[in-house]
Amino acid sequence: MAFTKKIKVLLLIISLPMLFSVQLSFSQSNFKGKVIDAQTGETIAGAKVQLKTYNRVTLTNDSGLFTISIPSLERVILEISMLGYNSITDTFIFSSSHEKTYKLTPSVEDIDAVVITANRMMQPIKNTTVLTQLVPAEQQLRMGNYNITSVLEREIAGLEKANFGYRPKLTYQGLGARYMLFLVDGERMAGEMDGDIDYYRLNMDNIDRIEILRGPASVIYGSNAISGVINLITRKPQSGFEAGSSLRYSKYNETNFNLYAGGARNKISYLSSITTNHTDGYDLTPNEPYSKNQEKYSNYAFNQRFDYNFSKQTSLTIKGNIFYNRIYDGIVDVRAVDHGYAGQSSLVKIEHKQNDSAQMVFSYAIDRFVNYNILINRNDNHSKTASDVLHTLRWMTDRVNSLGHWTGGSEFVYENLFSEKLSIPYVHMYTLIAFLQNDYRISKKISVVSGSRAIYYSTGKYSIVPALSIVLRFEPVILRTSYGQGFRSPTLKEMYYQFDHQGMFYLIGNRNLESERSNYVSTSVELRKNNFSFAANAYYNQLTDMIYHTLVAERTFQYININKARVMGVDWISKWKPLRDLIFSLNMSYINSINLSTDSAMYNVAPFSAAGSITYNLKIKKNWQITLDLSDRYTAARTYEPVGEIIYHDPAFHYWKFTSMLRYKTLSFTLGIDNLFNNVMPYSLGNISPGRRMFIVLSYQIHKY
Amino acid sequence: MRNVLLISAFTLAFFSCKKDDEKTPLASHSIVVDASSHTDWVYFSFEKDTVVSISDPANSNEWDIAFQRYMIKTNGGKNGKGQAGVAIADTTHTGEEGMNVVISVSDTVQFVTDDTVVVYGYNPANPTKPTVTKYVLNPILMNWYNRENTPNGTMIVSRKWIYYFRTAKGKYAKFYIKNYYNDEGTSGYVTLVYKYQPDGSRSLE
Repeated sequence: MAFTKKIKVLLLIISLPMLFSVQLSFSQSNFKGKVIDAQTGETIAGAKVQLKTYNRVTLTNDSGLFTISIPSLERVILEISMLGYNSITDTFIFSSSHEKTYKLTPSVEDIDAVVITANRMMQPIKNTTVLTQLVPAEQQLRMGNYNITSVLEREIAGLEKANFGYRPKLTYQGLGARYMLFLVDGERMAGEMDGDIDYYRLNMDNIDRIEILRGPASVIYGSNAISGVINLITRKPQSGFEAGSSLRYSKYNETNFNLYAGGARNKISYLSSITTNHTDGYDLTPNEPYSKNQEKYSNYAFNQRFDYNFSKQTSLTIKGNIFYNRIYDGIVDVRAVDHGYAGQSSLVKIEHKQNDSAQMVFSYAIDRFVNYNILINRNDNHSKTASDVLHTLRWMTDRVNSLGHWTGGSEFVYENLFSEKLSIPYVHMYTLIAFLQNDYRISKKISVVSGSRAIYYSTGKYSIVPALSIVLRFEPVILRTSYGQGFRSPTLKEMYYQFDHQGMFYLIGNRNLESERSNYVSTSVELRKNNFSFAANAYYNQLTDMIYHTLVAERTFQYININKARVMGVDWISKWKPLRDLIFSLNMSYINSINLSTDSAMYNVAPFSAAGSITYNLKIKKNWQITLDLSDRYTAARTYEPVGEIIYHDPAFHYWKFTSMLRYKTLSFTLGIDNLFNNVMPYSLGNISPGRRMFIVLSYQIHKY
Repeated sequence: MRNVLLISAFTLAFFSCKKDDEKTPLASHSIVVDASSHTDWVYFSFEKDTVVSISDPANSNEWDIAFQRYMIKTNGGKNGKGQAGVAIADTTHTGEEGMNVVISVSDTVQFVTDDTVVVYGYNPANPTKPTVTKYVLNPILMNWYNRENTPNGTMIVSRKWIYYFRTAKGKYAKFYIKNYYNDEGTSGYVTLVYKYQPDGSRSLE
């Protein structure tokens, strides 16, 4: 009897620590690890170790070691990444304290990166239904590229900042941004009149990465996504505290300044940033004294972001942005009016992950954009000339089941446009959208993607566009063939415009406009290896019912669905890393475009463009690094659509740029020369450059994890 | 007593004559004409120093010059029964400087009256084939402006040339066009700066 009693007591005593330790294991434990280079065995300092879903991050120290607290007895996903290497995702349950060593393989691009743009949900880049090009911001910042437009021009051959008006206009292959969709965090920007995109609101410091879809994305994104989608994804704050600042200065007092601060603690993360840009402008045509090639401007933007994690499954994001830009193009004795514009936008988003194969997103975005005339002779009175407000309500779901990977959702979009140039001052329109896409794996190597988007306009018109692709995966090669129907619905301006141009002619809208339609076929091939990656996309696009201004009466032009065009081409994107520290990049774009109504080549389109670069990275001592980069942007000769009675031609041209950056830990100094060989074309309507210019960039960041 | 009165009267008369010999400079006028309508002409009279409304312009003497957007017609030649005509006074000295330099109209100045002219309009659909419209305007005043292609669209910039003007009633004036935009930046608001000689002489000082 005493013995059993003793055993019972003994059992109790033994079990107590177990009970105790079970309680302990529900809390956090310190997980230690080391990150080394798989080829050389050297430790990697500054590698990012991220605990997914907990929004916790840390960096490896100078010896390649890290410590991160993770929950025990729970499956965790740890991502280890470093620029220049393939990332590793480790899923495990932490039960005992053992150190792990992670070996990262050097690569020219992260083969295992996760992207979002193809179907608005995060997925590995290998699984995307549309060819996706990923541009990490960190890579650009390390080369001293703080300007978003120049990063896009470098990574996308055929993309350029054009000079049609005082607002920056990005054109892709000369087709105008109407055919390429520009998004920030998946949302359109209002005030997007004729493709004018205000990338001044953002600085590369605010961006985490840029994702570029090469191929049709009409099912998910609708109008404008015929040539592809460019999605700028802003930074989300990580745990601890981070702050940084960058200042870029160049000729003509061109100044770009950015400052940000943010962090995350427990369930909340926040990020604030301010950006300002200024230039005195320059004039390359002194015989036309009243128009400068680059007008003087000053702009300011403030961005704020909050994220709140209710739980591991549910999170809330609130973002806000305000922006103001003034262009000093007024001339006192001629036209004493400066132009200005301001914007405000907000987004509320709730993401809910039901389980590993089902998630939902609900979002509401408002974007407001106002155009002003600033009356110099009336005390800088701001007189509103146009305003555009865009509301977007969206619900989306993403599910994987036995019938495939489904993505579907619905949107309600409301736009209210005011402009002095409209036939009725205020016009509005709403659009109801439903879309559904299915990615079905027939076998391990083959999937079929099919989808459709249905749109109903408040004008009574409706469109249904289908798309179909076949994806073949023969690692490391991925082949995609797609057919899609694209469309571009007429803008409110095209429908309601009533503008008389200095009495020389009238331009009027047309309420009966149909959507422009396109039938798009493309084939792409993608190959990603550690030291070499390349992708090519060949496409053929037949556009009908193109909206164009046509003479309908004496001195009166109206927008009519009149033109037919055929556009076909090949895009080539490649990167090669022959040595550890050397990267070559070459992007090319060939295009053949015919306006079938006039049977001649389309205006503004250069048949061939290329962007190439050589980057050399050198670690000189511990914590010191030098990066040298030489890049070129080439555009073949082209003819522009005349503005006025003169027809403009551009010869073929190159823009060379050289950058050198010296970096000590998180402090960097960049010295660069833009337009190295001083190529100046004062009458070009495409990219204007005032010639060779030096620029310097100073940048500093702090992280406290 | 009578002699004193006579002498005073003569002195007074003498002094008044002296006053008559002093020239008072002509007043400079500046007026903004709302010529923004695309269809209506806005009529102006130098004599009355104001915009006038005319019911029958072809047969009226009460207007001198008329504006419609950037087009200008005068009361003479094919446009009216008046004697209005225009000549270029100075293209080297322009604006206010030019107004100070041009002080009279010499006898040799040839005034040009209104005639049929061809106005080329911009054709955005096919800019190599501009629209062609015929108007009856003053040929000299076709070139009062330059068109500059700014990123904002075409801007009309006045050359501020000084013009001699012979009014409908045969009197003389000089003017230049200062601006085509009002303070809000809207086009079609012609700022006219002029000096009108009401006594009919050729002096424009």
